Amino acid sequence: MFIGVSVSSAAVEFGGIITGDTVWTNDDVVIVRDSLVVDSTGHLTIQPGTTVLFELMTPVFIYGRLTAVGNEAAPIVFTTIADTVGGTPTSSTFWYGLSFQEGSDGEMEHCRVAYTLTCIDINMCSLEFHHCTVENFLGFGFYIDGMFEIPPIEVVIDGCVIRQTDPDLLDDGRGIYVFRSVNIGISHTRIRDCNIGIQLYSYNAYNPRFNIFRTEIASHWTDGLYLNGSG
Amino acid sequence: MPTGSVRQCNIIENGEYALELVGQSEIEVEIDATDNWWGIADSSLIESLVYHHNDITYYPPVYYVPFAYGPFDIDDTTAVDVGEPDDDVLPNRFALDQNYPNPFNPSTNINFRLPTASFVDLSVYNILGRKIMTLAGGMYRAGNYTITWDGCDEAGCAVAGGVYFYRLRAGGADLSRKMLLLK
Repeated sequence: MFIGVSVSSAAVEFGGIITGDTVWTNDDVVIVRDSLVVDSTGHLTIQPGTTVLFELMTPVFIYGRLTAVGNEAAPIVFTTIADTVGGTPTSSTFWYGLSFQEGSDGEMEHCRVAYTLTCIDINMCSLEFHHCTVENFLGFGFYIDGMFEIPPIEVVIDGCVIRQTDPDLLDDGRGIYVFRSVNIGISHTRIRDCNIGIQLYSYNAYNPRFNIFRTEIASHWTDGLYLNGSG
Repeated sequence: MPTGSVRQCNIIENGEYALELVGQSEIEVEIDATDNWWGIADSSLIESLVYHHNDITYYPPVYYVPFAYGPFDIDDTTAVDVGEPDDDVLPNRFALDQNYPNPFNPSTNINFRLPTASFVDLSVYNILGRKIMTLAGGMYRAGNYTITWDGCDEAGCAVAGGVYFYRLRAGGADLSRKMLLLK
């Protein structure tokens, strides 16, 4: 699925460490050519309508705050640099994904995250995602690990689409993988064409809760919903 | 124990199970039977339930949710106490479990299950997709296996900390999972 952006248009290149407040505007296509870190003092704000393109396996590690709030008419797009007019995304052009680390914070609404190893990687932090499209991932759409947090971290996925559309990825990957100490709410969301739609691997000791409401879990190669409780 | 609810969902057209419940401990799940659509519960799904029931004999005690032609209630959920794991009971499908511990250092264990004798390739890949270690290769009898990875590559050198994938290919199954090596 091409995004209709030509990289020959105005582009701003980023990489390295963001400290303090940084705003990416929708005036230009943003190209991230090297690992990007939003450090614990950093706050990256991305305007609606901004397209961010990533080089092969380029990660974004967020230790501070990410504000990526698009809108229906002007979503924010995070995808591989090959996902452009004239480009052909393949597994050799995927980027790493967005990785939220312990202590990080953020808002993501009306974003599209595509062609990654793992689109959204959440580690020991509570976050909400609304109206986001997460598609074409080698491993996971969402990988959520609460580790040994007590009480569990809280993650909300609402109004999102999580799917594989690339023919090479159909029936692969997990739409949402929840590991250890996580309370998760999934609502008004469509999850399609992965290997497993939702996999919850919860540890007994943390008494985690999951609530899945008005969600479609369809056309997965093995299981729609896989729940695994462990000692 | 993990608890939760599934309400007013469409869980349809999935290849094996609409819902699979396994684990070494109980999971309490409320299912709003009348508002969930689990797909057309034809005979193949009912058969899947039977397989599922067999599968979970490795993880007592377990609740399982039966498929049915009509809506079902949480009251239909049956507690099954099947006793201790029995190594003589063969698994009925290919499976690759999450490694444990995870994250890990210096080593981790990977379980996989084969329902039939199969040619197996269990390998570790880095995030660039390059194979760095073959953990199991060759013909294996049906059964349950645990392989330990010591965090080294084929040359015996310790690999860097980070995310790795392990992939099991056996008998037409192609399963993969992610693990994290901490340094």
